[in-house]
Amino acid sequence: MTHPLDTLWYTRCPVPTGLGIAVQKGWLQDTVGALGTEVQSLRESDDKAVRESHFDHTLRNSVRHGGNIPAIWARAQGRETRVIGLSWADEVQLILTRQDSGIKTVKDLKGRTFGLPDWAGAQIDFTRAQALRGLENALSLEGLKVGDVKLVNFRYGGTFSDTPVRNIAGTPVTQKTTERNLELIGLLRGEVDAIFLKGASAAQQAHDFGLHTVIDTGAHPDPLIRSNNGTPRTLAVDLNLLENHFDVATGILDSVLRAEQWAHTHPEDTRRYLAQETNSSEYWVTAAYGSDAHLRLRTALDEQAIAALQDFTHFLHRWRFIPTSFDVRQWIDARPLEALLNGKTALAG
Amino acid sequence: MSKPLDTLWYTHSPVPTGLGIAVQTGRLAEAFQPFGTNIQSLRESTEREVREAHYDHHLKNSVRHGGNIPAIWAYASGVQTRVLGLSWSDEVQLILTTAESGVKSVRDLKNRRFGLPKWANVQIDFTRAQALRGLENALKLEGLEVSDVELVDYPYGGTYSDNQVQYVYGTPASLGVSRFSRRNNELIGLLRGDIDAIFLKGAHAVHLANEFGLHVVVDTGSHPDPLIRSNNGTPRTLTVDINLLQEHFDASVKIVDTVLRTEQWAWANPDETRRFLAQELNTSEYWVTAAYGEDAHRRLRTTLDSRSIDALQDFTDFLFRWNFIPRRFDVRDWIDFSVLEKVIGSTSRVAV
Repeated sequence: MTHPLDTLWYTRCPVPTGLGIAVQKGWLQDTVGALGTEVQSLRESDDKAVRESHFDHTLRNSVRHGGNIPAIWARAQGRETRVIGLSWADEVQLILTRQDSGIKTVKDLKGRTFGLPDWAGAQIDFTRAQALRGLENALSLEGLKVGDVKLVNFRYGGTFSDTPVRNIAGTPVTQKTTERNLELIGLLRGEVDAIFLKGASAAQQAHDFGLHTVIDTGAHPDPLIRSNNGTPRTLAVDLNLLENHFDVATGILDSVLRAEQWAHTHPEDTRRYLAQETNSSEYWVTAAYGSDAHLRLRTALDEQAIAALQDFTHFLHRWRFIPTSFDVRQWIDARPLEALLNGKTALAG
Repeated sequence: MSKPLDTLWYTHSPVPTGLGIAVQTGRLAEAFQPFGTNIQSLRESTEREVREAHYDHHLKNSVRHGGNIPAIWAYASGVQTRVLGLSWSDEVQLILTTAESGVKSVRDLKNRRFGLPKWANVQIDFTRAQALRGLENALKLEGLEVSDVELVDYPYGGTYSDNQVQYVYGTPASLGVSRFSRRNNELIGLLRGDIDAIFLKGAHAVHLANEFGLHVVVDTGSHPDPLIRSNNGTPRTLTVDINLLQEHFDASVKIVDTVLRTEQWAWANPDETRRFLAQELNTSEYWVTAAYGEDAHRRLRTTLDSRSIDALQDFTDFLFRWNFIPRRFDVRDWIDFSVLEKVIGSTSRVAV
């Protein structure tokens, strides 16, 4: 170590992540604090450029655990980041329709309209990419292609980072924006025949409006069909952190693994934490992530996750969400994980 | 105990109630355990007939803590019950519209279309009554009447008791929900532009308003006048049937005592209380706070104060005026003060 790192920036998506629990429990702060490093939440910053780093990973000495689309995009743009872990928490990924649409199965989607979000102002529209992935994977099961349905765009203004995240009752929340759930509104209005929604809010909205689930690609046995923005999630750091502050990088991973081990033996507390993190009820957390949600928090670098990440990276290139495809193995740095597994180290809590 | 009680049936609405938390924390079961009384949840029964007692209170030896509309209706229909306590947890009560409707304030509602739920097959349609109350009270603030807006009915089939409730991780969930069950029909109507405004209340109301960027025309739940705020949940009634009160007075005392002690526990435990409320309402802790305030835990307080009694009377008169109940009555004849007096007399300032 050259000299201690002053500040580590962290960010995670409002989804189940080990980093989120490590922050909530204070273990990230403790672990890197012992190395003389303070932590700062990136999405709670007053500076939009700092917040936007959740998506473009421009901030030096930062760690991010969350949906892989922005991480893949940042890397494809040439950002020097490295993946030090992958976590795979299966979640519901629903193609939804109205009861009166006449659509029962995936086959019935042929020739029908499908609503997609369209965040024209965002650097990387992960909402659109994940919906398209869910749609394409669903259609592929019946030998259909995206070209077989009619895509309808629902345009959103602004970006994903326009307002800071605030923490209220343990819940990360953003200020109200004017447009929300436009595809769902379009579906309810009969403007489109089907849409894609995922996670706890999807399960709740499907129930709230008595929608018909055409398919849940998140429950398919083939991991490549399930792979999407959240499957697997990436734990990524910038290269500077890894090269100049390897102990901090290892410390981050250590606190994440510790949080996940804690979760495995604390289902009740974990469920509450996940409900806070997703701003959903514990019931809908269970509906979306299973009654074994606490066991689904596991960060590693296993083959299934790497293969799925590669497949999904090709998908993003094919649909021009990223300018170039790349070999994800070149992007992964297993050294922190190996150091922890071999050393079982003084850092372990 | 005055007379051994084999089984006590209990029920509470999926809203903030002292009885609900007493059940969730195990305090109710604990309180009756020494007497060998079997505690049974009425809404979790496999029999629809039993579950329907949540609304018509026909079950002997039962206690209910929840929205007052079914309780008022049951009493007005001749079911012999008594109110042992009233709790008042202010909650948001929203008149909602879309951004494009052009409705900004209550005055703009004049001659607009207002969607109301209509459960044609139920004994007492509390959803319709509470929406109408919110609407009438909102309009009153600007000198308008319900007849100044055009009411549009959104029919629902079935009844509120069709599905057995099962508690999943502290959350009451309906089993056997029909695939074709329709929900939130007025909201769908609003989003489709078929109507201009609707009424929604509580945590789900703020959540849905946020999810769809709806405009809040007025929140009658935050008006300074308690009569404007009074509705199905303000105040909520803690009721028992007359048999339980007369033949098992000690059990009635035990119930009220447990509810009061539970509420005292809640005042000192905001964090855990918020989680219990989120589970009970099947919503997030954030939306609990948005709907019931940061002081949600302190809003759990069962008494028989004159403000609540006056509001209950005013609301009973409203229900009669709109033909939701067959007769008007004096709510003081319905209230039994003796149990609360006995509890407060013997347990005031007790340690929690």
